[in-house]
Amino acid sequence: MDPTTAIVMLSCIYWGALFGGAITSILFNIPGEAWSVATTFDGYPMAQNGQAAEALTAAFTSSFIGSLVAVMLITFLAPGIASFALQFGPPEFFSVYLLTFCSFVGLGREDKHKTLISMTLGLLLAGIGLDTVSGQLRMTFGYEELLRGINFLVAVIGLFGISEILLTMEERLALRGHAASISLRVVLKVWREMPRYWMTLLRSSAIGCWLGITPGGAIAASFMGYNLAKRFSNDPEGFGKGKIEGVFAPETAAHASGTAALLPMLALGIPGSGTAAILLGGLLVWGLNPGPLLFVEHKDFVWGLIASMYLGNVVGLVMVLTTVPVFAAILRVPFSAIAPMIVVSCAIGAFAIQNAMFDVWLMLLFGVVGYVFKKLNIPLAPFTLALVLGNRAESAFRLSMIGSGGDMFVFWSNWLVGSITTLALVLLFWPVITQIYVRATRLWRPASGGSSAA
Amino acid sequence: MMSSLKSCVAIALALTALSQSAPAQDFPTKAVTLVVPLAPGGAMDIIARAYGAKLSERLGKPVIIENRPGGGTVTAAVSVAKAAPDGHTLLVTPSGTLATNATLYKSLPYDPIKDFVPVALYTKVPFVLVVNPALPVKTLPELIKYAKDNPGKLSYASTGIGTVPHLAFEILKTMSGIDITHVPYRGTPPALNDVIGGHVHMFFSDTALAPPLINDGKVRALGISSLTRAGILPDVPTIAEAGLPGFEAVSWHLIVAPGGTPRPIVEKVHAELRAVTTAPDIRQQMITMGLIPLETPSVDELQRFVASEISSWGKVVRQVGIAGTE
Repeated sequence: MDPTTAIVMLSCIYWGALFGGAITSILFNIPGEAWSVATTFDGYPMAQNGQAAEALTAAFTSSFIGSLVAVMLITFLAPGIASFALQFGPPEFFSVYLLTFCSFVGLGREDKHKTLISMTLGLLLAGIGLDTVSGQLRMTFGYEELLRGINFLVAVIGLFGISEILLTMEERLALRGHAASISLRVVLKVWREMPRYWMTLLRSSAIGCWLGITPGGAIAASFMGYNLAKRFSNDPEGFGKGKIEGVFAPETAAHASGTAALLPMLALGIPGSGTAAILLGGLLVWGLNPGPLLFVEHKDFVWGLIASMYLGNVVGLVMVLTTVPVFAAILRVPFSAIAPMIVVSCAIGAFAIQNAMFDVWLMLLFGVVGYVFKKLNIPLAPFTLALVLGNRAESAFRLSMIGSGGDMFVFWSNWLVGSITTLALVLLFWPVITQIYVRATRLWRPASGGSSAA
Repeated sequence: MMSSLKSCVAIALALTALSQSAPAQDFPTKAVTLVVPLAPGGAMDIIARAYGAKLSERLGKPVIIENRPGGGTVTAAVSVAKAAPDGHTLLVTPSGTLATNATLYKSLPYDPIKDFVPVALYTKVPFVLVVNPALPVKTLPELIKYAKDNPGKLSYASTGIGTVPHLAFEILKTMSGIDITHVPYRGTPPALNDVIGGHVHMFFSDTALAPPLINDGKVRALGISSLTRAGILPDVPTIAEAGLPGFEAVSWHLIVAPGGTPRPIVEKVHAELRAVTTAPDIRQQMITMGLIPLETPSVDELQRFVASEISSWGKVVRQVGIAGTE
């Protein structure tokens, strides 16, 4: 096979995976990929309201838009913007992770203390396994299966998927999805609605591109895209109950980020994500050394690959849209038939991540944990976020401390990290700040006799 | 009736005995699994896949590459140590799994000597010392002098505690008597990223990812950690040539079978792998991936090699003060 063809094939499989993550999130509340967790928040309620086809169309189309923006970024700005990634040292990474965590506390609709409980438990579990900074084993209790730590996807499959089945079994033996109307009309209807959310799409694309260029961002991007959409929406209460904007926001951000992650890989030879690392391996097999010189020495290859990104996304969109009716029809299968199939595919999914049987038991355990959380009205999202970003945030923090000799002001050492950290802290204390503000104005108004309209 | 039953039993017993007495001729009776303890995409995975394809042509049975990443290669090693010792399950190990871990771990859940039989060693993995180009040093002696003039001001990256890039730098520090702060990253990409960005000053990098960055002037190469130069970077001197005679800190890829695998099977796989290693395209691929291809030593020599690696890396681990920390 010709190297360009080979890499185009690999990258097209990647587009497929990016598109596909949303399907199970929307239909079964089981995130297919780490970055589709945020898609379940509104996608699954939409499916329950009988709008599975709309949700799927929204997810696929917004994925396409996010990706298109990122590919255009790669096309026009690749070599220049790659150097932006280099500005990101450990303090910058920590500030971004902090911002993601704090945006949950500041912008979430749930009880603040429950959000904190959930996040703290997630951080605790993230600590299990080999600590990369000190090399110590933590909380493995001499049990070798725990050396790997808790895999995020295993936990998520259990927390969202298995627990949903448990809840459904308890309530009644029926998936609450209704037969979706299946026609081109649904697609066109969603497309007509899209321009109304141009601001959300634009914001999420920008967040996605930004976090994609700096390694490890797709997950943070999807959560941040969702939270900001909720913050700036006219109807924040509608989020989490099946709002189409809640599907647009995370999907656009995740897909923009996933695509932009290829930029540092091509321009610098430094992969921005696990998948980019595999593509990099593919390039190396063909003797193509990614990096600044790739754009000079292998022009045909680079521009061929970029052209394929446009084509791959268009073809991908058409393919997934035509399958929407098929996927939406799954919800018409009786629960008693489909539940065992879901459990089996969850188990296969959990096993396949690390080829470990232990992970299947872990998945079932997390199913029970997820069920308890839902019964107690503790939000699952902060828990999963802490589980996936906890390790990275911790090591970024500790590397920053090693680098600065223990000086906390490293998080305000330049305009970039300083502004992100400050924004994060403002968001963290937002509920307190607004309360103080409200009380202050109340106290001040009667005293000043309403002389000002502040 | 009785006699026919007896003869049946006799035939069955004879067949069983026959099948037990000739394992090497029959091997392989089914697909062979080659476990890679790292995620797909890295040099070890790519070479293992190339090996797997050639091996399956020679054995006439499929060779399945199974990635079992996580837990610092320990979980993959445990799974193979517990597998049936019949040659159908093999493991590729880097030096850490068998050599460094023996001293690094307080209680390693496997015995690097007893639980595995070495089958074939096919490559050395060198590392290239790169520095941020803003650092005013062009050679290793200049770096050593600069570090002595600025004690405690420089930092180096590694891919984690007890990894070869970490220990290699500690050996360099001891040999040259310099003081540089260790910053353990989670892998090569973030470490390289931060050397280029100037957040950390230097790093013993993977030799597959570094060459384009060296050629473009994003990082400066000062030396290779092996005793011979690497084919992918022919102009970069070895550390030993550059000013620290005798310096060597490399990893390697060794294919092992579970302990107790019958010797004839081990020898058969050894012979097949030796033949694969001499194939020119495999050698070229290893050089492209930044590795140094080797002619595998015999199985007996390999056993002595593993024992000597355990003692030499053990010495470094104890010197750094991280023995028994994991």
